[in-house]
Order: sequence, then structure tokens, then C-alpha cells
Amino acid sequence: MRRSPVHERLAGLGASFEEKDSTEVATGFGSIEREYGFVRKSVGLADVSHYQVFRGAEDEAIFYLDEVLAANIANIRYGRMVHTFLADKDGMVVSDVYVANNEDEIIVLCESLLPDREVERLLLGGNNPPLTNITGSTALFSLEGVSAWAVARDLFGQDVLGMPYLSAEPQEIGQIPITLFRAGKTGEFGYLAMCNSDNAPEVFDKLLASTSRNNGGMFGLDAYGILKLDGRFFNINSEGRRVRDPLPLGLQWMIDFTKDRFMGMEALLERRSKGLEQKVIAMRLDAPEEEVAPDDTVSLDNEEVGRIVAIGKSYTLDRQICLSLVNNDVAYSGLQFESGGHKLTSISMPPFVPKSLEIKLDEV
Amino acid sequence: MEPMTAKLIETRRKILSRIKRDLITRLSLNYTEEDLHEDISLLGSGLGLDSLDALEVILGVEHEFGIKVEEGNIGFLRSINTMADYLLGKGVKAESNDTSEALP
Repeated sequence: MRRSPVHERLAGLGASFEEKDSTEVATGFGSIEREYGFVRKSVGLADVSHYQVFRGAEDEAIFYLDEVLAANIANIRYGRMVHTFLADKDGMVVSDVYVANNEDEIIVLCESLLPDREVERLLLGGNNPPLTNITGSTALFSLEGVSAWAVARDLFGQDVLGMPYLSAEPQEIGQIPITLFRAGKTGEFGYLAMCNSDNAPEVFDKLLASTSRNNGGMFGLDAYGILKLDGRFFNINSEGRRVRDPLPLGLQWMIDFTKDRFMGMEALLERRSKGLEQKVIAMRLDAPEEEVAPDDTVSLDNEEVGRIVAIGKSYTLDRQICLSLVNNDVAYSGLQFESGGHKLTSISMPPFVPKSLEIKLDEV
Repeated sequence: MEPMTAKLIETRRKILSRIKRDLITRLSLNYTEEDLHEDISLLGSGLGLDSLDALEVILGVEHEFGIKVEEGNIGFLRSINTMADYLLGKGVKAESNDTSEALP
């Protein structure tokens, strides 16, 4: 089992750990509500070193990846990123992927349903792939929250606020080289900081110190899952694991349908040509204290129309919300569904305006 | 299906279709209406509109639906679904007066 380079630091902070696809992850730090609150009200720091990371020279890797991943990789401009996925030959999602074009190199960050070696086999399956797997020597930290920009400014200076969403640039923390990505999955400001695992404890300490100075703290992957859910960001380990098909998941925006080739393209295009039969939509339980569970069936007007594929309590809404895979003809907001005697209302997502949307970084 | 449910779905379906057609045309998107999930994020992730795109969409909404968007209000652009909520809340009719053929 692969462990985070900052495992000891996380354990010292009271982390709970779980094994996920042969990798240990920090799931929480004692209070999921508190961890959630850090991100929605100030800033949270999470260790996401469970991602698989690959690196290659830009001139070769960019064209190789363009034939593997679903998005248009060949056109990623210098300093920018795209958010896409890696599919298997059946066109089913395997990894939620960021690809960054940074300083003449391509960096691939994968959050996956499979162990490291399986992801490597799928991504680097060809002969002499122009990418190197650097997962074992890399640490990755996620800063998310309405004040994440303040931590970034604290550590990297005012200019960092000019980074557009989905961009990457080389930076330093205490003379340690890192790669900084402007990317997140909560709807608030988000950054990813990547460094060599040898330097991970020192980088982590500085990130945590600044996070604490900005009234934030650690959050684990359980809280991250809820933040993704009520921010309506794709969670590969939740609805991704239960549905797998990117079309009902609503991931078409991650696909360039005009490309000649990517892994799983034929199967995906065939399903697309037949039209959607089901789709994932969000629902809110009407009563605050009630709960449903994954795989529970969902009915509309006494007719079974689907099943629940993701759940979590949104502390912003103060009630449980869920994602359900339902028949396409009833996949609309504002309808009254039922599951196991509980009433659910389908809702538009995201159900609230993230505070970060009200902050203009060029004015802070 | 209950008649009231069917009516709610039909109203929603029509306004979502109008919004999607307008976005596909205005932003020259290489997607069909069915490709655009109603919860797709418009700002940042998803369609990734920048501030100029957002302004273009707001002007388009004002023109297409005959309403005035409050200055500084971009919160309703969170997704296609939240756009639909906003427009229905403004009393916009789901039906378009424009009877021309739908764009791809």
C-alpha cells in the first residue's frame, strides 16, 4: 500500500486513514462539519497525494496524450490546464484527470478508480510512451476555500492572484521548487501544490501554517466528497464509481467529440448516437433529519424511475442531498420524488452561490 | 405520470431547450443540446466562461428573453438549471415567440 509522504504529519494531526485502491488516504480529522466549514467559510488544506502523477516533455507528451484522453490536449496553451478523463476501451471513466502544460513539460494528475499500476498500464500502454510515472516521488496538496487566495498570496506574493482558473506555473516555497496549479473541485477558490516527496514535510508545514493564519485547517477526503457533491463537481469515487458512463454523468464537456481518436471513443460515440436513456440529477431530502442510501430506488408518481448514486449532508443546506440516476424523461429540477418513504425534491445545482464568486481577486 | 408532473416537466424542458440553443449558438459550442447537462457549470469549470463570455451570455439572455439582469448578478450563471430557475422566476414564458427551426 502506498502512503502519503506526509503520513506522519497527518497522523499527528489526528487523521483517520483508509485504504483506497492500494493507496492510503486521510479521510477526516475528527469533525466533518468543521472540515467542511473551513472550505466554505475560510480555507482548508487537504493531502491529495493519492493522485497518480505523470510527467513528460511537452513536444512528445502532448500529442501522445491527445490520442489517449477525451479532451483536446494538443491545443493546451503554455501555462494552462484542461480537466478531462481517462476512459477504458469500453468508454467508461477510469480517472478524473488534469493535464497541465507547464514550462516545456506536460504534467498529468489522475484521481482514479484503479490502483497505480493499472492506471499506469492504461495511460502508458503503448510502446515507449513519452511520459514517466512520478507518483512515488511526488506529493500533492489541495488548498480549497473562499480564502484560499489569501494563503496563495501569503506564500507566493500578490502576482499569484493573476493566475486564471485552470493554469499552472512554477513557484517556490522557502526555496523548494513546487508546481502550483489553479484548480479546485468545490466551487470556491482552489489551488494544488505539487512538490518532490523529499520536500513534502517542509512544504506541508508552510502550507498548514499559512492556512491556520487565515483561520483555516485540515480537511479530509470525506469532507471533500461532500464539498464536491454540493458544489456539483464530479466525484470519481462516488457517482463515478457507481455509474462509470460519462454520458449520464454529464461529463460531455470534458470530451472533444471532433477528435479522431481517444481511448474508448468508439464505444462512447456509439452510446451517444443512441441517445441518453438515463441521467444523473441532484435531489434534496425535504425533511432535515431524514436519510437515504446509495442504491435505494427512486420513484415519481408511484413509478420507479431510478436509483441513488451519491449521498452526503450539505451543511450549507442543513440537509442530506443526493445524486440519482433517473430516466431521462423525468430528469428535471422541481419535481417531487420518493425513496423508501422519504420525500425528495430534484434541485438545480449548485444550490447556492459560492462565496468565492462574489470576490474579485483584482480588487483584493 | 400525474398531469401536474407532466406540465412541470414540459415547462422546464422548453425553457432549458431555449437556453441551450442560445448558448450553443452564442458561444459556438461543438455540442448538441443533449450533450449539455443542465447542471453543467458555466463559470470556471464546465463550459469555462470567462468574464467576457459571461457578459455576452447576459446580454444574450436579456435579448432572447426580454428581461433586464440586475447589474453585477452573475450568480444565476452557475449552471443551465440555475439560469432556468432565474428566468422562470422572472416570469419568462417557456415558449419562444421565435418559431424558426432549432439549431443543432
